[in-house]
Amino acid sequence: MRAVRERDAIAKVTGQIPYALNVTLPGMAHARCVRSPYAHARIVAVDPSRALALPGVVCALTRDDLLDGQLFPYYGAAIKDQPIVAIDKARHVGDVVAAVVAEEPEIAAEAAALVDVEYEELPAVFDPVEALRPGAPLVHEQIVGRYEIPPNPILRPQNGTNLLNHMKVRRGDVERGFAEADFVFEEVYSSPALHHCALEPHVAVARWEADQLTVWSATQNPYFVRDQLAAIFRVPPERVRVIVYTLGGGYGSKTYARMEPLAAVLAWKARRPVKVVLTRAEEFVTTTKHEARVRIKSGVKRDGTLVAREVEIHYNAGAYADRSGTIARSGGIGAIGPYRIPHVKVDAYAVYTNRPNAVPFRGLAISQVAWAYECHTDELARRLGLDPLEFRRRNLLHPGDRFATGEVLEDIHFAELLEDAARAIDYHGPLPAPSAPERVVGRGLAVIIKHMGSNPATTRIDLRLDAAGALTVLSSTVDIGQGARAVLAREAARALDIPEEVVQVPFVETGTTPPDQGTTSSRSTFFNGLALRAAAADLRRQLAELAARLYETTPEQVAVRGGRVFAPGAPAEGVPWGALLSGAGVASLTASGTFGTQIWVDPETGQGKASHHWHQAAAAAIVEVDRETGKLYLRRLHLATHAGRVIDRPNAELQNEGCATFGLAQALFEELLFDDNGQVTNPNLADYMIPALADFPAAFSTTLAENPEPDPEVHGLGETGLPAVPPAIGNALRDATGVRLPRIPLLPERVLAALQAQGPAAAS
Amino acid sequence: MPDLLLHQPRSLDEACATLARYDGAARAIAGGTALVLMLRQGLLAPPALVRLDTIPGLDTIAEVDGTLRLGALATLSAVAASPLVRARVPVLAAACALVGNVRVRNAATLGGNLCEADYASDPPGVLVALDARVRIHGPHGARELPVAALVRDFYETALAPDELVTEVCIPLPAPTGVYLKYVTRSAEDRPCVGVTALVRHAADGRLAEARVAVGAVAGRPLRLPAAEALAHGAVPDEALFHAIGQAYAAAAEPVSDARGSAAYRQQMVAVFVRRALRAAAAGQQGAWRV
Repeated sequence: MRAVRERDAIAKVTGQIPYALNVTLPGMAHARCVRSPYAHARIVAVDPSRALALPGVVCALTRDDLLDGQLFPYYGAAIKDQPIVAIDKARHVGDVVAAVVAEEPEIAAEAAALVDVEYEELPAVFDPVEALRPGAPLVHEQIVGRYEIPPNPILRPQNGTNLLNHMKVRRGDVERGFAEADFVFEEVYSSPALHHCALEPHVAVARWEADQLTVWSATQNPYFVRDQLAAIFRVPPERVRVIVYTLGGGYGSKTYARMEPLAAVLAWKARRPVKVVLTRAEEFVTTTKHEARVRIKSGVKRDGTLVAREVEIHYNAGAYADRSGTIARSGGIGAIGPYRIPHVKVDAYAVYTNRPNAVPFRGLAISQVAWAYECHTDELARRLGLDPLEFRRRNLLHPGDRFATGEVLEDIHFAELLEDAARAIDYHGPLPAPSAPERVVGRGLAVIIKHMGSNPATTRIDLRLDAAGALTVLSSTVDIGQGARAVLAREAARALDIPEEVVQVPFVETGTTPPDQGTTSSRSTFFNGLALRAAAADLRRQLAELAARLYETTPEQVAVRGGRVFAPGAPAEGVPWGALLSGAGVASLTASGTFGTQIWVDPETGQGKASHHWHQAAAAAIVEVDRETGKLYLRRLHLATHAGRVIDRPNAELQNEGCATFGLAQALFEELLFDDNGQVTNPNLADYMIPALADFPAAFSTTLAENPEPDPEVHGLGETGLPAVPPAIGNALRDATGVRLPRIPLLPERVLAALQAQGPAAAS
Repeated sequence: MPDLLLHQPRSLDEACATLARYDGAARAIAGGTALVLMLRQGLLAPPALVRLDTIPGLDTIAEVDGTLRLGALATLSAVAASPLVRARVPVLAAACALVGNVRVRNAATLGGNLCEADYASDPPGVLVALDARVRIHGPHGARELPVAALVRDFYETALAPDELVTEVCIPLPAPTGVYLKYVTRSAEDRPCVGVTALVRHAADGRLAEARVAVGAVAGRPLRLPAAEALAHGAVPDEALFHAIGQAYAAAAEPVSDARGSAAYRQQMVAVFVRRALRAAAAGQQGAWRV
């Protein structure tokens, strides 16, 4: 018998682990979307008749199907502003305007090209700062009073603007802080849109049986998808079942509802199962990372004490709200960085534009602000003539300090992480010699703080013990490749003191696995661990009660350990759980545990408790820069994250490697490119660069910091380290060359232009 | 991908006759690494494909009468691994090993690479520097062209629609040197600039000959005989490498793409011609990604 960890590994390498992509049902038809070629256009007419005439075409879906009131036509992670197919306007290049169902995917593709859509092109806006100017084209003419907006004090859209959310953080008096400062310095940093590039594309298969809808999806949020589908069909959520197997990567792209609403509506119209699989090119216009512009201004005393910081962030939300409201919230709160600063003012804006939808992306909201504040902090130190490490030491948050939100921070380890990173690259030692005469070497550091989850959340875990002694963990956590099921098995075994091999973890099915907010925000291991602990305590209590009943004693007299119960009157070697259940005539026991967090901040001041605990990381990089080409070579990278307690070391280290890989690609070359009409110009993996193995530095190391106490809190690692990597590399470039680039990626051409702008004097 | 007819000829004559029958509308397919992407993206919609891998004997690599003959269907992996190529023209073997990734190299063929005439590719420039020629089979018999004349412009060759490249021929002994593949983004990116520099030394240590081909910056690899001639009888020093680099940079008419603007490429041509010449003159042999 093998543990889930090994079983999954074997199933993966032998091609036997199930993916939604492999789901095939009898009578299943295939869909293809009709997408807008315009960034912003009124839809005058949609005529599918030429497509319907093609042999093998089953049906087409247009806005006409959404307007008779049978369906609720919108969905969305927060504001329901995204129509299943466009109703009045197309809002970005690639927006879904109609869809066709056919017997074969190839026929659907051919038919989609035959749907005639008449557009009236409208002026478009792509830049979030421009989109806020008076007179800018409106992406949504009306939001309040038209779309369903959940009761959420954080999210406050306004009609007549593209402003989707404005988050404020106010602490102290920032103007007074600047007045008291000896040195005030302001910069602007920016980072581009990206695409997630999960190996597996978005896929959803929907089937109706009578009034019951079943959807197989590669989603990170099965319960959320269930509820959105129930709302679309105006049925109770129990009528919708969402099944999730393993995901071929997510990185945030498979959060909330993506293609499930369309698949379900198409299956409803076609009266047969329908599968939607996006092409790689469609992937690039379906989910993107928020492009952001960050203006940051700091006031500092001559001795290197930070006294004031003001930050203004514009997140480009794209055409639909999705999670952009909470991204502004989390980014606004995190924008100061892990520093003790008495006077703080932050304004974070999430802005609608005619770009493809920006959605959660590994490192959510924080990558953009960390790129700004860690470069800016480094630059401040250098301009003051201080060592960047020493400058950070003087200003880092320590346990007991108050964060920008006013909350007192405990269990924080920024100083230790930063020192660990510095040590790893021998920060105080001599720099390694350059490998060629035209190259120069430098090193850089970065340290970051990140929230866990952007909203209050609850997770439930059920444990089912049957009379054969098998223990099943029922959880709606999704295995995205991070090994969630293996961790569940391991933590259940630990909590119940039984071998990992006897624990089963079935795949997610909302009909049987209990409610969960979603596998996002590096929250799953933490939430599951605590919910599991509560469920295990419940199961132990039930076992003790059962044994007490069978052996006529009290539960207090019963010991539960090692998969057995020990009670006065029972055999001395104990009774295996299965035998206990059989003896008592009980078929199975089901225990439950829940864990929830409550977080709250005032949107006018940002004051409150913004995260149950805080994720913490530091990175250190050594780079070599070719002064003739501007190309940056990453020689050494170290990533230190706070883990609290490591459950599965190889998988935990792989999360840090994954974060490092994402981070170095974002620093060096990853970028979604658009033309002037809002069309993605690199929507394929030949032109859009993702990292190759050879991009990973030969010298990489990682630290997973653990607390010394016996049972410390687990900290999520899925995205913690990522935001620290690009600024560490940017700071190393500055150290090596004197060049400070405010914008990633640090392409050779940009570096060379900056080197040449320095002039020959600085080049020596 | 739309339905299309797949022809499986057993001989070159049959393949050319089939291509002729379609009057330019059909496409020959070897490794398919480029063609299949174009079909999938709808950039091409031929009614038929003509397989070349069903024709025996097109992937042979041999040395015949002082010429290295590489069958057009030899994969880039096979060229990279061939003991003969590695011994006689190490720069070509090493350059082929830098193309794309291992999955691409195992399928892509040397002939297909030339006939695609993608500017952002490694082998064409190397072959141009080697004075390689291609043998072409057509309905009216065989002919030969220098690779430099085969590749005309972006995705454009001198082949008639019913002609096929059958062999790539490299005169031996080839001068020795290096290929530098400069990538500006991921390690698996195509080249921003690819420079081949090959030299022959005279007995006195001076250069008897230098050849430089600059690839990936324009529609076809660039060779400048006048600039190469600066090396004849010259002492191989930095001033010479610099002068040749400047001459190539001045003559290049680079394209702008996501890998680099025209202005940036112009500067990189000077840098990498100089560096490639320096390495070749120092006796280095091989290909490097930088």
